[in-house]
Amino acid sequence: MASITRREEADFVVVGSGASGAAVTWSLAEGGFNVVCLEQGPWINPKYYATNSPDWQYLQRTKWDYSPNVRKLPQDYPVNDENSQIKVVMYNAVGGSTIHWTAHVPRFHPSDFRVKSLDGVAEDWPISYFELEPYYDLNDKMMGCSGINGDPANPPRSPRQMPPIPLGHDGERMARAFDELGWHWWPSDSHVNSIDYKGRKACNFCGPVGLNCERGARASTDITYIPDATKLGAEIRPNSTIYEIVSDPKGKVRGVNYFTEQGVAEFQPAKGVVVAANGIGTPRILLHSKSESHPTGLANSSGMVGKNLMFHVYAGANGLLNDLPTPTYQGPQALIIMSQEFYETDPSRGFKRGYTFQIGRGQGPAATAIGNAPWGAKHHEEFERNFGKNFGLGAIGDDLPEEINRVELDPKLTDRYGIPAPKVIYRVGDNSKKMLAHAVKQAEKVLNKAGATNITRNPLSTNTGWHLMGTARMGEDPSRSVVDNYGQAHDVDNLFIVDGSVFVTGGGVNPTPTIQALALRTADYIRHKRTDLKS
Amino acid sequence: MTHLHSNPSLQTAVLDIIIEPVDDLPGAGGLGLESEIMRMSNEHHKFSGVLIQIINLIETNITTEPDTKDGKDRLISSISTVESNYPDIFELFIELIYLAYYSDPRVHRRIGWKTGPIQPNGHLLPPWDESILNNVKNKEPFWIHVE
Repeated sequence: MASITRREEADFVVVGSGASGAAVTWSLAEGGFNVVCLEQGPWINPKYYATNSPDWQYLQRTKWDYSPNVRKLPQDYPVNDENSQIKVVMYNAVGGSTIHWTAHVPRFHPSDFRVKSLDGVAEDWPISYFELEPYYDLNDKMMGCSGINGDPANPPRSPRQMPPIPLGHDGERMARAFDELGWHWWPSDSHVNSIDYKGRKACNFCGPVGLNCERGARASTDITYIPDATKLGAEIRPNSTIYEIVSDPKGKVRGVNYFTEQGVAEFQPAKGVVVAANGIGTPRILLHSKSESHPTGLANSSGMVGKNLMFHVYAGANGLLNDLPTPTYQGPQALIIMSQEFYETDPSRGFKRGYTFQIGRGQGPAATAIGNAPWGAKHHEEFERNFGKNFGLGAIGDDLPEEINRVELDPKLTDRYGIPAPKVIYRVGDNSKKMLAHAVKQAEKVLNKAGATNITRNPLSTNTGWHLMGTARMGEDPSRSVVDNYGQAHDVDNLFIVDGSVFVTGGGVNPTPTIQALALRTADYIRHKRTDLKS
Repeated sequence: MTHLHSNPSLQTAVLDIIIEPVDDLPGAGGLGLESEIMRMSNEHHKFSGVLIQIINLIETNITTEPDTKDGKDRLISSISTVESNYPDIFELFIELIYLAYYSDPRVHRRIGWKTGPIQPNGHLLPPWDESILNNVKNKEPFWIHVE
C-alpha cells in the first residue's frame, strides 16, 4: 500500500460486529475502554429488510440469500467451498450473521465441555459450563430470551425474560408425538420476543424469521448490544474491510490495516485487538497477517489456525400434516420445539455424543414449489399436496473436530481488494455419518407418530454451514491450541479471539449463545485483568 | 410485451409446459410473466442469462427429437434432455420460473396466499399454554453433571 492514513489510537479495536464482536464491544465500553469496532458490512435500515417487500421470496434467494457466494454483495468475500461437503453461509453487515439468523439459543450441556473425559473423543474444554453460566444469563438479558425453566435435559437456569413463543397447532402435534414415544422435548430458548421487550415488539409470527423484521421482534446485535455500546462511547465503523492485523518486531499487535468503503487504506492503532470475524473469517485474517515475528500467520506457532473446522451436521425427515386447522407456514419457520432425547452418548448407538431434534415449518409458495413440485404435468398436484402441509424434523449433530477439516488461504481467489479468499476443506466424519443415520430413523418414528404422510428421508443437508467453529481453538497447551481459556492468544498477549473459532468441540446445539457468553467472559477478563490496555 | 428470447412462441410453449394451465389460470407462458422474469434476471447475477440459455438449448435440441412425436411431446422430450445434460443451469431456470409464477397475485389468489410483504401483518397463533408440558415435566432430569 502506497500511503495509509493513521487514525487516533484506541484502547481496543474489535474486528466484526456480529454476535460476539458486538457483545465484547459493549462490555469493554461499559468497562471504560475506548473501543472502535470495524465492520466490513454496512448498517442496514430495517425498513429495507426483505420482509417489508412484496418481492421477499425473490430477495430471499438473491440479495438476502444465506450464501455470500450467491449474494455477492460488495461487502461479501467469496468462499471457495468446492472441497467441502457442507457449504458455508454467513452474513456481513452491522450485526453480522445475527441479521440473518433464526435465533434459537439452546445452551451447551455441561458434558459438552468434557467430551474427552466422558467419551474419549476430541479434547476437553479448559472451562466448564458452570464457569460460563453467568455469561449465558447476562447475554439472555441483553438479547431478550423467550423460554421456560424446568427442562429435564438441561441444568436449571434463571427465569427467562419472556414466556415461550406459542407452539402453534403443528408444534403441539409434534409435542404430543414426542410424549407418546416417551421422549424428551422442550420449548427451546429463543431470542425472539414473545412479548414486547426493551422497546422491541413481540413477534407476529410472519414466518421467515431469518429475514428479520422492522418490529425488532427477533434480536440481532445491531438493535441490542450495539446501541448500548455506542451510548457508552464505542464507535462502530461500518464498511471497513480488514486487510491485516499489524504486529511489531516483539510480536505484539499494534492495530489493523483496513480499507474504507471508498477503498482508502487506513491504519487503526490500538493497545489491543479483538477478532470476532467468525470461524472462517478469523483464520483468514490471522493467516493473512504474516510478519517477521509471526511467519506462519498471526498466533499460529502451533500450526492450529484454520484447523479443526466444525460445522454442525444436519439430517432428518420431512412429511405432510394434512389435518391441521392452520397451514404449516404460519408461525416462525424455525419452530421452537427441541428434543434432546439423543443428546448424550449411549454406547449402544454406535457413535459418540449426540444430537438435538429441531423442527422446520412449511414455507411460502415459491420455496414450497422449488423444493417439492416437479415441472410438468404433476406440478400443481405436488404443489397442492405440500403447500401449507409440509413439515421437517431435523437433527443438528455434534460434529467432532478433525484436523483435516480446515480453512486455508486460496492461492488464486480474492475479494474485491485482492485479499485472498478462504478455501474450505471439509468432509463429514465417520462418527457423524453413524449419528445422522440414527437420527434419520428416529425422525421417521416421530413423524409417523404425529400422523404425517409422505415421509421422506434427508440423509445430509449440505447448504447448512452457518455454524463456523473450531479454527482457532482454546486450550491449555500452546502447541495444540491458539488461545487460552480467556480467548487470549498464546503467542500474543494483547490479541484476543471471541467468535466460534475458539470452540474446542461443537456440541449438538446452535452455537450463538455460547459464542456470546464466551465473548462476554473474555471482555470481563480484560476489564479486570488487563487494565494495562486501558488509557 | 417484451420477450426475452428471439423465438417468443417457443418460450411461451416451454413455460406452459414447465407450469401448465390450471383451473381458469393460464400456464407460466400464457400468464405473461416475461417482464417479471426479465426484471428478476437483470436485478441479480444469479439468474442473468439463464432463461435465454435454456430456451436456446431446448431450441437446438428439439431438432434432434424424432418427428414421429407430436409437437408437445417433442418439446417435453427436449426439455428433459436439457435437464439431464445441463442440470445446474436448468435448476436455476426452474427456480427463476417458479419465483416469477409464485410471486404473481393471480396465482396467490388461486392458492389462498396473501399478496404483498410478509410484514407487518403476520399470522395469529393460539397463545402459549403451559399445560402442554404436563407429561414431559414428569421426566427425571437426565443431563450429566460434570464440573
